[in-house]
Amino acid sequence: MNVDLFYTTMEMMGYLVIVYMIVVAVVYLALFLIASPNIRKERGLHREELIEDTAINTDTFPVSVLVPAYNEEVGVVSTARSMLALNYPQSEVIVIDDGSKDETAERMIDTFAMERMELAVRRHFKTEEILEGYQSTTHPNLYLLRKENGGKADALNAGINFSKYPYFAAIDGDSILDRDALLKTMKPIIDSNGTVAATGGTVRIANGSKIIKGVVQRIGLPKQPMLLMQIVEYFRAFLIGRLGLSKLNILLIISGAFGVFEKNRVIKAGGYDSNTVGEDMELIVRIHRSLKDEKSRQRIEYIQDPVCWTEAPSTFYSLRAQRKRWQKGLAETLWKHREMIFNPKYKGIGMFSLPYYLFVELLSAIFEMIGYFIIISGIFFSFVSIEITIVVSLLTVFYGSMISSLAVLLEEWTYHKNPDPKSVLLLYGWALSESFWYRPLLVWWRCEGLFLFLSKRKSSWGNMNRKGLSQDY
Amino acid sequence: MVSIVIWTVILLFIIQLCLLGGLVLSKIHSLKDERLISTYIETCEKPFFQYLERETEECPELPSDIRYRVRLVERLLNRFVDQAKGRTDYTRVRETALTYLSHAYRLYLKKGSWSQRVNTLHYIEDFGMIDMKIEVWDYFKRLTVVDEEYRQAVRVLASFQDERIIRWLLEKETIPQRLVKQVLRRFEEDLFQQMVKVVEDEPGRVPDPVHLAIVSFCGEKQSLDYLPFVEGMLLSPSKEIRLKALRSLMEMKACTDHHQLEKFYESDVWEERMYAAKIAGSLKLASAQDALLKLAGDPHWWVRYSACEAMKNLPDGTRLLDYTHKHHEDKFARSMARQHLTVKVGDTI
Repeated sequence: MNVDLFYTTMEMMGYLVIVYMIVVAVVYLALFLIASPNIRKERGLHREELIEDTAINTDTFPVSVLVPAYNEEVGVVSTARSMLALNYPQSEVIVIDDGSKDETAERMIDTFAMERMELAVRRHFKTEEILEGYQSTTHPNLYLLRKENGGKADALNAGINFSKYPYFAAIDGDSILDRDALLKTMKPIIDSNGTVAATGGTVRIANGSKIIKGVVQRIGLPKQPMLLMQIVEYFRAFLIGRLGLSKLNILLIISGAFGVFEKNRVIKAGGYDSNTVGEDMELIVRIHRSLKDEKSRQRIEYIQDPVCWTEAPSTFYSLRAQRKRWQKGLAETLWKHREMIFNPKYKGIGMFSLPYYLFVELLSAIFEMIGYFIIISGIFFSFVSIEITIVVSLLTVFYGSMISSLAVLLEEWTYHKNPDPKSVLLLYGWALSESFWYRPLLVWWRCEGLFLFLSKRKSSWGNMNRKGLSQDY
Repeated sequence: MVSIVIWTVILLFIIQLCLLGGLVLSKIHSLKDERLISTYIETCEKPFFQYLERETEECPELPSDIRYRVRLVERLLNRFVDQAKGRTDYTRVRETALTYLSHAYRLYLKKGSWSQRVNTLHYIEDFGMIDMKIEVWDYFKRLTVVDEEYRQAVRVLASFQDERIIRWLLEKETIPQRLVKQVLRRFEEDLFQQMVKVVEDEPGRVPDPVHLAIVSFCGEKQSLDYLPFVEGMLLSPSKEIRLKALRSLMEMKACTDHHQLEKFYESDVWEERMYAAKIAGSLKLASAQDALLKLAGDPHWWVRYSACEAMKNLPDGTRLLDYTHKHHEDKFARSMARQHLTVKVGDTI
């Protein structure tokens, strides 16, 4: 009797996983269908012509560029250089050294001939103490703040307190921006006359590309399969997920690697939350919440241009740490705003976006784990009927690869930045292999992240073992 | 069920293979095209630029295939215009663009995709193809959605000094101020004067965004001819217009009577106090010392910041800042003055 019950339970779980995967595939397909017309519409658009006027326009809002850095001695100088080289009429660059234990600050001070300055900082938010401020003598719009360690969110809040312009861009210390990134990202804000409260662009993986002095010289693919898989994953997340959600005005993430925000709106929302590792998503959810509470017409927009280059983890150890942190951050945000989920007051955010992140992004790890368990059980122990095993296996393979290949297609439609046809074949091929090695690993790590959230263990800045993106020669 | 799933998966697999095949073929095709265009550019660029600069009267031989020819001429002209940045006579650019591109551009405006139309409008403006003004106007009249296409059509017409745009500006209540300023930047002096005159003579006829844009643009132009007009706006009952006028005075670095500023030092509106301080700084008004000292202790951070920044510009600014830092009764004023004593302002030091 007990054995029968066990088999029945396994069968039921098998069906549940099948239904779940079909539903998720349909959701992804729907997002693809929403995102693709926009991508098709803008195919072939000469984007540099669009921003020509903005680049010299005195009405282009000035922006404070905030670069939080913790133990970033390898990349902080090239990131600062990339920020200073931005094509933008008026900006200031503020590097916030969040109590680094390495030579992050010294590298900045030496390279940019920085001198100490006195500070009269507003306190929109309470942060860990700012110890000292520096201004570059070679680039007067470059500042360095040294503060007590408080985490990335705390560093960003300190940067907001110090900044003087009405908009700010938050950038990771290991990211590099295209020269026109800020112009392209600010364009929706400027064109909408301030109706857009925050924007973010597509983040691309820089590993494999040649970057000299903070400028991407040649786009290339890395050799490591793990990095290739991350490239496909980024295409999928940005070109399908985020663009689709943005078109519905229910986008919940502006990547922490690069986003632009209206400062007043962020101040109203209460700034970054230092108690979560998913501070980028948490802030956006809070902004959505305050917009809905105020019945404001402001919105959050995503632009499809690849404007930001970031260094992806190149070891299994660092990828695991990153994915655990992301999963924990997502869980924390969803838990914190749980009353918004399925709450009609928050319209698309409450009724679709948050449930999407809960069931598709967060809990998919659990469902997929069950799927893998069923496949293994079916093959080795005959707990599950062979029919269900075959169906789950096939769905698992095509669940990821179909969407991934569509993402590669969208990338080719928009920017076709990959240098030759071989690169398309390579990405496609690896996309097909995803379910056999990469996805199970991610599923496992994401389950670990969930466990980390449930165990309430504290996370801090992730250690990525960076090699640095840019050659300085 | 298994057979259904297997067939579905086979179907999906075939779709994926087709997609991949299509992608690779289109990639090969586009790379081949790109290589061909690059070769053409390499061989044609120098003689083409010489022709555009009137060093020779003979236009170099261009590809006979119209698809390549349009793309090649477009890229070469764009490169030339970008490099020349107004340093050259554009007559030859315009003539060449009209000879080689106008037919294709008419077609694009009629039947092209959205991105093709937007690109075309940008190039029509960049290459000064004024002979296409009628087509652009007719095309603009058909547009209903205010997007990049619509905005660029307006900019093109403004570049070509089409007076119908003035009427359009005066009829549109919801036009973004930024777009109005883009139009004004493209207008030559006589058209801008017409706009100023309308504001002076019939202010009720002018939509708010247009009114604000005109006052603001006077500051951007930095022409003292418009100083009386801008100063007149300081008396406007509208806070927005007064603020734009103050900002324009700051940008013009001019003011016929400094006493006009006094009421703004004491204004209830913090932005007015901030701009008054900024103007005092940009005019290096030593007489504003007392007012700036008071504003350094203003409850609003931006006013304190601007007052201390302005002090720095005064003839005896460093001493005044030092005094504020050491002796001001307000601790926030002292702290702000201390920051300004160490911060360097400006693009170069």
